[in-house]
Amino acid sequence: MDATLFFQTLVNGLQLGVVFVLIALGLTLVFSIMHIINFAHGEFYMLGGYALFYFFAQFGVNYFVAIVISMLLVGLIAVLIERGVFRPLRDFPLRALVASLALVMLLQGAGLLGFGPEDRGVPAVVTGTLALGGTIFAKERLMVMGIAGLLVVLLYLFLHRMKLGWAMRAVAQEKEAAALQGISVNRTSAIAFGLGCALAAGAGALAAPMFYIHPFMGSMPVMKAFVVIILGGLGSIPGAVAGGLILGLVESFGTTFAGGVVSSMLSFLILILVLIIRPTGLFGHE
Amino acid sequence: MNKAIAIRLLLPALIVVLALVPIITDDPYYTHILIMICLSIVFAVGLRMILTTGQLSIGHAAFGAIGAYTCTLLVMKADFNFWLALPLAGVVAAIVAVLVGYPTLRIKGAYFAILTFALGELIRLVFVANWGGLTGGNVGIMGIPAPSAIHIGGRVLDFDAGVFGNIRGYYYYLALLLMLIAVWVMHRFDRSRVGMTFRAIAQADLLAECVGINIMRYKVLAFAVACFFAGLAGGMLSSYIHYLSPVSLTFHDSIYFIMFAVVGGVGTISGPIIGALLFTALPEALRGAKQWEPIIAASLLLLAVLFLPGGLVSLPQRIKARFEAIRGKEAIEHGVA
Amino acid sequence: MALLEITKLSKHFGGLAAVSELDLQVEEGEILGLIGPNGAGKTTLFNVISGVYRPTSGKIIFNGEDITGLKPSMIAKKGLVRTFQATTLFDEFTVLANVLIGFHPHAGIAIWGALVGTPATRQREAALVQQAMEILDLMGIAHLKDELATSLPHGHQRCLGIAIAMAANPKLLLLDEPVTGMSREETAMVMATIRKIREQKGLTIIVVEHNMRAAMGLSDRMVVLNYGRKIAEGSPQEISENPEVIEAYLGAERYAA
Repeated sequence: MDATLFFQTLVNGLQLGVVFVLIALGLTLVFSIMHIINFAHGEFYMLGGYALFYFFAQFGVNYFVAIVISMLLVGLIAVLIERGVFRPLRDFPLRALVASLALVMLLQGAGLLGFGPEDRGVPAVVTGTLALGGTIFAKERLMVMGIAGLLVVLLYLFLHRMKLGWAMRAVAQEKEAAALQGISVNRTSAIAFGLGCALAAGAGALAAPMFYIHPFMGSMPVMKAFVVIILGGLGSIPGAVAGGLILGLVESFGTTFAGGVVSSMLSFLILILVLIIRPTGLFGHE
Repeated sequence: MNKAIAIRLLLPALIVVLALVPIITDDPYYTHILIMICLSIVFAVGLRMILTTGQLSIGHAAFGAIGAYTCTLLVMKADFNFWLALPLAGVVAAIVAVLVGYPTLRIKGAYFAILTFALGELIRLVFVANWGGLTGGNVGIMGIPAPSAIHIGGRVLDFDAGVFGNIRGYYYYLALLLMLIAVWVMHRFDRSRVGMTFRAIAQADLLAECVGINIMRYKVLAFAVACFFAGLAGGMLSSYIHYLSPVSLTFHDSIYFIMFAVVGGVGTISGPIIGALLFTALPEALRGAKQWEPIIAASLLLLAVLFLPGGLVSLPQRIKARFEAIRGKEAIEHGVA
Repeated sequence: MALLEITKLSKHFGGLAAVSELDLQVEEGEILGLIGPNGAGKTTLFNVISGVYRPTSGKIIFNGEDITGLKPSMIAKKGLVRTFQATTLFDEFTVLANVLIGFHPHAGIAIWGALVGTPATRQREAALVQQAMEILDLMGIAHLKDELATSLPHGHQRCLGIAIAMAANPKLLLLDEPVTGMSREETAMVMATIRKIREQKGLTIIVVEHNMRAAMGLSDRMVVLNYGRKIAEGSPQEISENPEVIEAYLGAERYAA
């Protein structure tokens, strides 16, 4: 293969990967604190996309402000859902799993009813391309990569530099011990769920100008996010970052050389093989 | 009256009534609904059996799809007789279940759920990929023939011709038979030591293992039997609808099967049956406001998970307990106790 | 030859050695008390012997057979059965059903028989119910057979835990803290029961126990662990006078304080 195609594919893979990372980070964060696999994570991505559509494309709010608004709004909804649904089910993992499936249907159904079945488009924010040594970058994608990267860094700083983030990591490691030290498991769970879903909403808002928005737009990304967090090890944040970038590259090269269907199959096949051979993930500990 | 005797009398009566349906009505629409209810029950009781071992499958419909494609391809591409292809559809689904179940069922909870979910998607994509032009890709397979006619002592049971003037009569009988066999098998499991072992594993797997129970063997058994019946139901569905595509049985259907079992109640086998009846009737009742259907269904599931974990079948007992509690309280307040 | 023979057994978690280079023999018919301060490796040892954990190194010979690294269900079938520290029971089952599950290794399940409900299966099940009642009677909880396991008081729950293990027909029974955290009356009741089952069934028993007085009262012989190593072995009398044991316990208590 020639170098230009290789670099183009590589860059596309990284662009894709950063969005995967963003969605997967929220999912893995929620799992590490609450031990819940939230199948409805993609629906929060969808809500983020719609929030951006309304605030940016309909009400004319500044794009960057609209992203922040969508994250806050969806985060708030998520906190309420945590309070009403997942908190009462904390000691019943199987029931919580079923509840998250119910939320998939509920939010998709509500989206269909509230937002309508038609595809919505969000106008591009920046246009044009940038050519660097034969590789072409769409400026919009570069910006998306930049913002997504920034969000990942902010999350890392939050978890490692702030007291609340430290408390969350403590709960993730040892719930009882953390509770003994006076950390409120309730509060931490609510924040983790809100934050995780806000990240998904951020990803949805970032993806909105690139793809169409519709009530079922969350299904595919959440599947990719599952692949990412299993690759990286359930609950592992560095694992989610590495897993997301790897999957982005696999999909990008897979699509270029084998087509979209085969590339998607490949990612599920990897997921199943990892589950069977090494369920703690490629980067997880025993 | 003795409850056991009542059930022993009522059950044959119910089966006789169900067997008479094509004579009672020749309405193809109602017959269709009944066929779909029967097939839904087959899926739902299987899903419940997996749940009794403490595992949640989110890809149960995919095993129906495996059965559907197996049966259809055997009949259409390999000239198999439908009556041989149908059991093979169940066998293939069960074999896939064993192959993926063995390595993953040892891990509790979330992993198996994700696995079954991913497996469902992978299987869907395999059918989309249309290797060798076998599955027809997204377009699917059209014109799937009816089950081959059966010759019994000079009589010909022709599925295309119908029975008693009911054009879907034979399909109904096939679905009913499948449902009765599935329910009977699951019921026998439930009542036997095997079913008891399933439930023991769900409650305390380590303790079960330490009294000598090979818990993997039991989990895989439950999974494989459930998937066998899902494969049969899928195989029958495709020959009944005469059409099959990758979206015929999807993740959404899997959620519905979970809904049948959980809202109906997983404690007894009657739970998923009631759930399947309720949720197959619901869209018919809501025909004027179809867009509300998923929201109502999902809300019912959420309410059941939150407030009625035993499902609808536990409701009478719940009400009775509540009633007795109130009466007891009143008795104390009135100084009777 | 000893019924259980453990040689140079080690179990490491990461860099931590929970059990290291342990040698242990258990003779047929004895009650061996296993004691030691918190974190001494007693429960880890139980988990390794019963197959819940795979040992890092070493060998376990039971009844002349190498059982190192076998699955718990295989080990249980060979006659080495354990109970659990916490009240781990089949919570939603009745007391009787709990014991019936314990019969698993020799219930002879034929799936076909279970499905069809053959007379042979029914007869066997009826016989098992009778055997289960005998065990419950021995444990003194026969009158509670229809109660749910969760609804029992603590002491009875521990007895039920032992009853489940008894149903599996053990040669060697591992009891993990059978009386820890119990009231004096409950302790007396459970201890009497353990002695009774030893006498009637000729069992060999290893018991891990925190309650020192109970451990001394039950055991024929005792082994003391500290930091995963054996630091003393002998009769209860010898153990209670061993300065190293006293130091280990006092040291642990000083540290805890």
